[in-house]
Amino acid sequence: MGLIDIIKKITQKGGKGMKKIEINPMTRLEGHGKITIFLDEQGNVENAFLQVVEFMGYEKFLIGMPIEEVPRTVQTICGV
Amino acid sequence: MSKPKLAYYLAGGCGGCDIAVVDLSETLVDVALQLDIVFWAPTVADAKYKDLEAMPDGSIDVGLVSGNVRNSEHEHIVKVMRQKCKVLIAFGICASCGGIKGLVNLHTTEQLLDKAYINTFSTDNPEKILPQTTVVVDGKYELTLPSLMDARPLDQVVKVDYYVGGCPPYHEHIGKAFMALLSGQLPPSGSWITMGKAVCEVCNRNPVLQGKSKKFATTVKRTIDGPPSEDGCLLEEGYLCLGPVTQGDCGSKCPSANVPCRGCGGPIPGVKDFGLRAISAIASMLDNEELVDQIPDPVHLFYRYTLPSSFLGKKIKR
Repeated sequence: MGLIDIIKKITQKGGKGMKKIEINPMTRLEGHGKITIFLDEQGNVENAFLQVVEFMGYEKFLIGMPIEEVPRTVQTICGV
Repeated sequence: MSKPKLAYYLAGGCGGCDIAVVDLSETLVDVALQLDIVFWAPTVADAKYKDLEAMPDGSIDVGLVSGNVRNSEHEHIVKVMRQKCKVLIAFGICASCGGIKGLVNLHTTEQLLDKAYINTFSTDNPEKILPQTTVVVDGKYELTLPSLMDARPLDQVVKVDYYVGGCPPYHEHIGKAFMALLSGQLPPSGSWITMGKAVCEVCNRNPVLQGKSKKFATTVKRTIDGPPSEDGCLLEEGYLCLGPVTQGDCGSKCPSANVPCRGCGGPIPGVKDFGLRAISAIASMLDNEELVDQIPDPVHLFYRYTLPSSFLGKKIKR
């Protein structure tokens, strides 16, 4: 069964009005992501959004660091 | 007897600690067979946050948290982890002391967002749009994001039973920690899981281990100033190595590759503020006071992995 079928099956049982399905967190990857799916009254997918819920800030806090120290520092942006 | 249940949560980290667990290779197979992994998000297992929230309180034997606590989602899940887990371990230096990502505490959230989303030469954002905690798209699709906060180590949010240092923890050390965990041979609650030796004590470059005495550094060098000698002490030669104050469970991997230690292993036992101890140690090994002014970028050197857990904490903004 595909994802769409699963969603249809869920919503056939559901009530009326717009439904929201949140997949949080996205798994089997590094980095935090969230998927939000909006369904219409018929239970079909009306819109879907992927959000990256993390913010780090390396752009700012690296400023002033000796250049030779940067490679071993930025490797922690993603350690996978 | 049923297998011990394990949960693993990656908060504000990079996944390097997860990869370090995988680096156990064959040992991981032995360890994994003895464990029932009920939650490992987001990297390994498919369980979602609501699955973790639905588990009975205290039903998980061991919980590992890697990464610091940086936003409201991390804070919430870390608190859930504490409720569900009998033993909670801060795994890696981010969870234990704040980590490299803890350097964000040098700046305000506004400064960080401004640099990342507006004032970078490669950024094209004329409307100056910044991430919002709530946004309604096309008037009907409501989306939310966690709110940002200063970085905190795990123990500033919940009670922590054990700490494991390293960025990431060295895999052989993880193996020993897991074996200690499985056999119940753990130190008193609140301890670091470590062999208790500093990097210098396991470093082949240490002159003391070769029966010689340590000399003062008469110059301050950066690694771009040229390679160090083959087997001499990096500190003696002027490369500011934090080996004297750092836990050496890594087996002194960086100095053996000509790279001075930066303290990712965390403080040696008995030290609360790593940065202060490091400043004190380095200052005592320099030949004269003039050399202090030559230390490049002290805050990024001494507090690289431990700023949020230090007495400076989030008090200093640049």
